[in-house]
Amino acid sequence: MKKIFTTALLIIAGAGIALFVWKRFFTSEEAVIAKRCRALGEAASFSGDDGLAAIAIRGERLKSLLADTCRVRLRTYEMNETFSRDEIVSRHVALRQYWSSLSIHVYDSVVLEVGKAEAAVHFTARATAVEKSGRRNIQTVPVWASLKKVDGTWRFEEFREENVFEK
Amino acid sequence: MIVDWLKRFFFPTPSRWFFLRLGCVALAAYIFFGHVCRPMRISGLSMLPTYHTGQVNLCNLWKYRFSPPQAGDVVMVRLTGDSVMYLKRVVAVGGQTVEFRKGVLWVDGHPVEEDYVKGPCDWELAPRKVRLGNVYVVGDNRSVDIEKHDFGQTSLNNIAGGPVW
Repeated sequence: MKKIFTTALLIIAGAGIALFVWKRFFTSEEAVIAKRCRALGEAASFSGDDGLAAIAIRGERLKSLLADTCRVRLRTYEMNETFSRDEIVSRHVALRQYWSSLSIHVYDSVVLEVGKAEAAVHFTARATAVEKSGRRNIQTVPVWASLKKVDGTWRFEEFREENVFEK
Repeated sequence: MIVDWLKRFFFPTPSRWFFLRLGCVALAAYIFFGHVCRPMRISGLSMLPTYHTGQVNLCNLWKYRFSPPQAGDVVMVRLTGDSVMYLKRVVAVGGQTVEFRKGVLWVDGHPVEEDYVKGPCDWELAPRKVRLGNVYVVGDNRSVDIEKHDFGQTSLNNIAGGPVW
């Protein structure tokens, strides 16, 4: 019985190591894109305690996730515009005037298609914005996004709010 | 005696049977909470006064596996997955016609009495047919502006299940 128990433990440990190695060295494009989606949520979040250095770092991080131009189509905010990366970052910084913090979480990212240089993904973004007055606004939207590969890195080039319901 | 039992319960001696029991409990919890009844926390005003922000519920993922939801059922609608979902009430099913007149829901040309709607409502919505394979869902809180309320027809494939209570 002791031998069986030891063998079972060794198998579990071996499987764990194999899974770690697989995830570390053989990451699929789907996993990389899903990671980029989560990174986007983290880069777009901010808190009121951020100093100038933190604001600059967040801005650079956000910029590194975006293509040169990025189209944003958000029905909820009646927005349908194409921005440059710098415009998006400066608008993001400007949000700090109205909100003391913004927290964006990305859930359920599903890669819909992936090619050599282009990919499409959809995910659910949940944004919690706290106004200067302390009032909280929570918005949950399903988002479709397209990405293109620039210098070996996936960058977002379009965001579109998806419709779950048809009125 | 009770002290001994409590001691054994909270500080069990690690034996192979203990680990076997632990494994079985973990597996049963994973199957039940991951694939049968998923714990959910309700957030938002859409289903007031039936469901409030902060309430905890379980989403029965098997509720509509063998039969589609009916009018009056509260359902959970997927956005892009099962982590975040809308909580809405089915008011009409495929083939029926839905409209709102002066805040009153009309289905197939007949007014529907909805005792779960408590607040004032002034919604106006022209008649529209629900396609087969779809259901028409609306939140119970009709006091909000019609433009700000997420509702409409959605595919049965987007229905993840229903709340347990």
